[in-house]
Amino acid sequence: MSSLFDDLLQPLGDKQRDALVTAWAALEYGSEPASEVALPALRDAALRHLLEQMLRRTGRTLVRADAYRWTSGYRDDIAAELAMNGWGVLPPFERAVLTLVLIYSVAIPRAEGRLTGDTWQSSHPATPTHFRRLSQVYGRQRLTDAFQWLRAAGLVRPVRGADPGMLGASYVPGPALLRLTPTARQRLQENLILAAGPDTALATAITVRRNVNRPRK
Amino acid sequence: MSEDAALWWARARAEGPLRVPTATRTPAGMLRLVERSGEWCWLLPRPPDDVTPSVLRELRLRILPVEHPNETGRVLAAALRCCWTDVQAAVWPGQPSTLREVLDVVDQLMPGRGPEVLQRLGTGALRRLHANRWLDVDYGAGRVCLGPRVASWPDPDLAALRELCRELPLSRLGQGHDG
Repeated sequence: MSSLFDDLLQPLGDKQRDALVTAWAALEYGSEPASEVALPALRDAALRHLLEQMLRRTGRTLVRADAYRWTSGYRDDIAAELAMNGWGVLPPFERAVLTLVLIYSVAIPRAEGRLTGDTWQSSHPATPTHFRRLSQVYGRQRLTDAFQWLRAAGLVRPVRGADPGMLGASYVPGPALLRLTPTARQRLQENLILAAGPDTALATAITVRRNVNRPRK
Repeated sequence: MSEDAALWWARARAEGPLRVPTATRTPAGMLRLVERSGEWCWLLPRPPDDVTPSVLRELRLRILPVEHPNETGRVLAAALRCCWTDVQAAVWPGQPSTLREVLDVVDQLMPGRGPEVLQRLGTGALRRLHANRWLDVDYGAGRVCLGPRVASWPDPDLAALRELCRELPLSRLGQGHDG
């Protein structure tokens, strides 16, 4: 028995405890969000509250993926501490590749009105053409390794046949992006604006707001 | 409940098992594995009721796929056969083995592949298993040890793993031990 959860689980009967632990596993281990239909602990408000407490103790939180599906993600305060300490941060090259996937599959389609909603999922793949320059500068093998790394982390998902004229897979954002909290999604959107258009009025507004909100020493 | 534990758990989720000096206090709910040297230890989260991803199969939910799952599983099984020499003892840390021994067991599990194919498949699988701390591979020394993540297998699963180990062939290079 794990001491971190004892006081939450011990008062429960076997059925409720099993429902709670199963839902915890589905959220934390599953590659896709879990449906309320299959998991009573997600449907029942009291059990869901306990589930949120379990997640909270491990630096995690419930994230609603859509009307009936849930997943888990890092708490915003914990994500900030992890990033500040450089723990679990994407290496620069993998970060650059993921940024390109997000720009071509989400940011540009969203700016053109082809993608709506506050989500980092997309049906518009970033194709090998978009990665040609990275491949030329850093080599095909380095790019292949980066995609392998990002696929294993669930950050990108390959799509076959999107660019028949070019060798290699095309990519859309992976299921791990669904784990972002609303605050994290907004921060990611702002960071992409700062990266893609640092001289735009929108970027200036974001920078000013962040400086105003930054705690003073 | 301590916020300190929340950060340790989140860090372990982001980075995998954490290697820290043994003087480090064990965060709430984490498993502590002290290395042979006694100077360092590994910290791993202990999930509620030791639940594993296998529960997702019953729910028909998917976990993140492993690249080349068959080859990766076979290489892990072969390393287990070579390193878990006393199957009545705890699975971690086991005994050090060599890359040649592990690949020889893999060769017996996947006969007829040829040395080049075996080397390529084995190298890729070893890299994945090392990156996720299932194994600790020292390429310079040609040594393979079990990684701390194997200690997260719950007791009920170990009986099946012991049986699996007994059924696997030993390395033909003469340094394996029967369990």
